[in-house]
Amino acid sequence: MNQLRTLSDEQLMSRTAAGDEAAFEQLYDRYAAKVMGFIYKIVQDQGAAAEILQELFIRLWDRRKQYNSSKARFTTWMFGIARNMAIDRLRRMKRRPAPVESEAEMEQMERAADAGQNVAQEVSNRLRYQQLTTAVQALPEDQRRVIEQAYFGGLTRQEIATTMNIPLGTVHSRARLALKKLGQLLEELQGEHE
Amino acid sequence: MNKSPSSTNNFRDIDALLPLYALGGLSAAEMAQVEAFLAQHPEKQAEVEAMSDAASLLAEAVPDLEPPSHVKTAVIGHVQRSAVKEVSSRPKVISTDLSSSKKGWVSRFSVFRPLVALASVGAMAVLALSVVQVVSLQRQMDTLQGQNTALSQSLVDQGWLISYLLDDEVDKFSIAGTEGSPGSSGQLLLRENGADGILLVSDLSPLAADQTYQFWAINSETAVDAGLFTIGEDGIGILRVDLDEPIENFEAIGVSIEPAGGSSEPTGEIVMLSELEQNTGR
Repeated sequence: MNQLRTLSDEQLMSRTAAGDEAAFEQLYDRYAAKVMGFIYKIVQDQGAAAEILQELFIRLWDRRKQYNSSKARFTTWMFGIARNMAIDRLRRMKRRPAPVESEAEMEQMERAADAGQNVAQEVSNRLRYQQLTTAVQALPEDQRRVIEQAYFGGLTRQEIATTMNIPLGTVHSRARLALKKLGQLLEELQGEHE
Repeated sequence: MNKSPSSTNNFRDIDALLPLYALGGLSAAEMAQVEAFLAQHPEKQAEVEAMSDAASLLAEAVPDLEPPSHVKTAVIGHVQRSAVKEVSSRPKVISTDLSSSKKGWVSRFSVFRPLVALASVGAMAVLALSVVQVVSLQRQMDTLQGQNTALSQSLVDQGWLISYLLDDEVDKFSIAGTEGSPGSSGQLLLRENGADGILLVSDLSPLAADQTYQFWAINSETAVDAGLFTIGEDGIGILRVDLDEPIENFEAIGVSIEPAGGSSEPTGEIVMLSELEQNTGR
C-alpha cells in the first residue's frame, strides 16, 4: 500500500480499471474525507453525505473502465459525479445550504485531522487546501458568489440572476472571469507538482 | 430581457453558456443545447474541460470531513463481491515460472547442475503448492467475506421490503411499461401518509453508465423528481420514495431514461407510465 501512495490519481485509476482493489482503496483513503466534506457542504446533512459518499465510490468502482484520463483529471470526473448526486439529493430535500462559516470549516478540518490520517498526507492536504481557499477567497466577492451559487447551491443561471438581481450577461461574465482565475491557479499548482 | 438560447441559437449565445455549463448552472434543456453544440464544435471541448477542471478546485477548497467507518466497509464489501464474481467467471491460471530469473546463477554451478536441478524442481513444487494453497485460501476468505457482506445487506433490504409488503395500510399503485419497454411492470407501495414508500419495477433493461432511470410523480402542470434508480442484471429495480407531497396531489407516475445524475424534468424516453386513478389502491 505504501508504494501506491506515490502513484498519481490517474495511475491508480488505471490499476483500478484492471481490477486492482488495493489501488481503488488507496483512492478511497486519499479522497473519502475530501469528498465527504464537499458533499456535506452541498447537502448540509452528515447522514445524507455519508450515504452519497458510499454510493459514489460504489459507482466509481462499477464505472472504473469508463474513466478516460485523456479527457478529464480524476478529481474533475469524481467531483463532477459527486456534485450531481449531491445536488440531486439537495433538490429532493428542497433545502438550500447555509453558507459555511470559515470558523466552522476550520473545526471541520480539525475533526478530520484528529481522525488519524497519515501525517505527511495531512500536511500536504493542508497546504493545498490553504492555497485553494486563499485563491477562492481572493476572487472578487461578486464573482465568487456566482460560481458558488451554481456549483454548491445547484442554482441555474436564471436563478442566480434573480437571486443577485443582476442581468444574465453579468452572471455569464462573472462566471467566466472566476473560472479563468481558478484555471490560472490550477496551472500554477500543476507546475509546482511537476 | 432574458433571451433563451433556443430563440437565438448561435455560436455566441451558446459559447456564453460554457462557464455555467462547467459549473452545473444550467437547466436540463440548456445542458442539452450545450452538449449538442459541443458535438458540432469539438474544438470547444478542450476549453470546457479546462473550465471543468477549474470548477473542481472549488470542491477541493472545502475542508475535509472524515466519513463514518461503515462507509468504507460497505464500499470495500461491494468491491470484493464484484471481484469475486469476476474471478469466478475467469479461467484460473497460476504462473509457476519461477526459475527464469535464476538461470544465470544456476549455470555458474554446473558441477552441481543435476543436484541443483532436482532441488529446484522440488523447491518449485513446494512453492507452487504453497502459492496454490495461499491463493485458494485467500479466495475462500474473499468469497466468505463477500458473501457475508452480501447476505447482511440482503437481509437489511429484504427486511425493509417485507415491512412494506406485510403492511396492510400500504397503498399499492401499479405502473406499466410504455411502447418503449412493453414488458416492464411495477408497483409503488406507499405508507399511510401517501408520500413515503418504495417503487419496485421488473423487466427493465440495464442502462449504460452515463444514463439512469428517473421516477416522476406527475400532475397537469409539472413532473416532480421522485428519485433515481438502476436496474440489476435480473431486470429488477428498487427505489426508496420520499415524496414532498402526498400522492393524491398527482395524476400519474412515470419512469424515464435520463443522463446520469438525473434531470430536473423528463428529457429522455418515457419507459413506464400509469395514471393513478386507474390504479388498484390498497
